Amino acid sequence: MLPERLTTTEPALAAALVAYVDGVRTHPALPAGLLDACGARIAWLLAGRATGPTAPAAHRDGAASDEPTADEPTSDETAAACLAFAEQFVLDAQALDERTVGRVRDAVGDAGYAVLALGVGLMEGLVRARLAWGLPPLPPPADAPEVPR
Amino acid sequence: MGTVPHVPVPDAARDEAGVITMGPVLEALVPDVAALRATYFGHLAELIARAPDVHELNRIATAETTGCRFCRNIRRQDAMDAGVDEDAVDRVRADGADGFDDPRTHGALALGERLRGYPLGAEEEGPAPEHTALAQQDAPLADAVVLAVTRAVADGKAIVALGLEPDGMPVRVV
Repeated sequence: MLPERLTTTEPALAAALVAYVDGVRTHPALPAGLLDACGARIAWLLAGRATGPTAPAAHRDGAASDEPTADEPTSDETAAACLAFAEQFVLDAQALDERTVGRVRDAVGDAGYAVLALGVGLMEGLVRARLAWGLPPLPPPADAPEVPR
Repeated sequence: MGTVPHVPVPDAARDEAGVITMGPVLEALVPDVAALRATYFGHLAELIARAPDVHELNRIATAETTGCRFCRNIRRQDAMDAGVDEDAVDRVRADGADGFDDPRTHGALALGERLRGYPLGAEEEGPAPEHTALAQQDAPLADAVVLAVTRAVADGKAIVALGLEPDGMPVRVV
């Protein structure tokens, strides 16, 4: 997650960040795998690199696809609502509108919305930090389930 | 956005002036996450305390990006408490990194601007040149700037998304 020099010189900080990220991404207020899916979408938006199944397929391994974006109907309203929120959060949080927020709150409740807002911020921060360090975006954890689309 | 809180705000999260503190809002909603966040912030605060002046200047610049009204107001006093003079506060708001000639401050602010301003689909290879330049002067400071600025961006945006900065009801990020 952090460059090795930081985990060596600041082990307590590095461990605390890993615990924070893991605690958010596995929080029971959100469906399993949802924040990993948001993280993959954010990595694609910011870094132009695919790291998981929610990066548009045309950008994964050169595959062509008409896979839906967050604005299009999908088979999972919760995932679609949260991905739409994540995209707008990254692009311009001030422009989040009541519809986008309301879809998420209807789907995951107040606690889920709070975890999502913190988690998407964490994911965005990690992508930006790793770009500055010259590191690729983190791939989704191996144990992350695929979010239904 | 931000005229109505989007999550419940407990009485304990407001002071007598109506100022909302973010931590108690999270503690009431998701106490486990709030505790993990507080632990990480405690360690990050130790890193920031090693160079409070440049970090406060970067916080001011970040507040302009995230649009957090409270951050824009409160950071001025925090910066002065960290040894930054009023002229420097005005310069960072007006000119960012270009307002500073000394390599350390200029480098830290330039790295902050790079972190906040990555274009969509950056597709850059290797470290950001701004990180490399600052790391050549002070490598621990360069890494601390990365962590502090990305933390500030994340929380500033979360405050906006949670609707915790209604008009006339500022929020404190602790």
